[in-house]
Amino acid sequence: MKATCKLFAREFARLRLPAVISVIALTLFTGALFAVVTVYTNLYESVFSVVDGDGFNGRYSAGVSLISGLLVSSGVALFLTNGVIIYSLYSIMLDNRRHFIGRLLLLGYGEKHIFGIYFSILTVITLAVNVGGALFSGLIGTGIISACSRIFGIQADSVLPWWAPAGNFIITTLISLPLYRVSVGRIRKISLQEVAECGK
Amino acid sequence: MIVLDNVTKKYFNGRREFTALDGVSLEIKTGEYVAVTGRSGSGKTTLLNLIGALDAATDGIVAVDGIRLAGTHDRQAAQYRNAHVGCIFQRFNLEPEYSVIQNIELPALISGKKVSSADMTRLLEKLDIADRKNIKAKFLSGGEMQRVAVARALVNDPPIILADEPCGNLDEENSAREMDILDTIHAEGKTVILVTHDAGDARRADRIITLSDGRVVKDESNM
Repeated sequence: MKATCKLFAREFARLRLPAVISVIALTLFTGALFAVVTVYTNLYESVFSVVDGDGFNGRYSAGVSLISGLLVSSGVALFLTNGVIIYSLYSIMLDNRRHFIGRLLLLGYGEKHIFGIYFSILTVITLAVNVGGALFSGLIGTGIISACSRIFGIQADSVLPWWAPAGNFIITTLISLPLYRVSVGRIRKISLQEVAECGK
Repeated sequence: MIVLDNVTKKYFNGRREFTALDGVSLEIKTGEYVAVTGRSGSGKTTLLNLIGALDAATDGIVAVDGIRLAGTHDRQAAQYRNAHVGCIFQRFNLEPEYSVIQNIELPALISGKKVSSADMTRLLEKLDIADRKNIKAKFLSGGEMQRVAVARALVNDPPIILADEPCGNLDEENSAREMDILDTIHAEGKTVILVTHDAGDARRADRIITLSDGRVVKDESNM
């Protein structure tokens, strides 16, 4: 247990830079994306509400269609971007540490312990990306909406709708699961003999 | 005592089959210094990998101090590698981003064994790397890297040392030094199995086993 904790700490320290950069990039991207979508949503709702009153008329419907389209395309973009970032992060981590994992096996570290370390690191990174993305999208989105409201005097909701960060979390978690499984599978494929050959 | 009884190792590459070891039987006594020689592809490394539980025999029995390695559970094999054998490789297999001390203490960390600073200092001084202890492995010379690898192999005090062409990447001076270290390790009572192409290095051992096409073709005492 002590060895696992110590190695986990060392490994995580080594991986923190790419991990932090990726998490920040992802959270900023998703935050901004949700903010844009929400601002658009609120702007359209506000503009059409002001122009046409509270009634649900044709122009308002057109606005809703546009917003729906934006939401769908943003969702797809979010899905792809999160997937690429999470998978890249896993790949960088596993490719860089392939020999290290092998060396631990050579030196008599149990397979389950190694999976324990990398399982933990994958979990921490996945949670950081997912939760971080959700929280930041909420914070940044709310900030941008609030700023737009003040600058343009638009009567918009002052907070991001609850489904934005929640949706972010659900989407990224759904993306993470298969990638996570693929990554764990890649660790399992690292064979002792292959690593011993690397020492030749 | 290391016992190999009619051991065969085959590798499969798609439909192609390659026999690396073909019915090898031999015994290596505790404390013996054995050199394994032969041309490339003769099965030397495969033999070492089987004794080190880095690979499993396709057929036959490999037993070390009564422990049968074939069919051993992963956890038992890992414990065996950690406590019973110390491996030294041609390309060192060090963790480049770890310091000398971090590399050396890795097997002890895994086994949960506490290495006192006095023991660590003794080991570092014995291998003449005390002044390099906090330097990352990637900044060391080849000779220093190999001495760190030797220290790592010794830190858990395993009874068996497996050295797979340990001088393959070293110059003449460092090779001689490395071989002197192996002589000392053997003199301290450990079983040393050395895989080498170099006839001069092999002659330092008590016994020379020659492999060809996966078979033992010569097994002679060098005492």
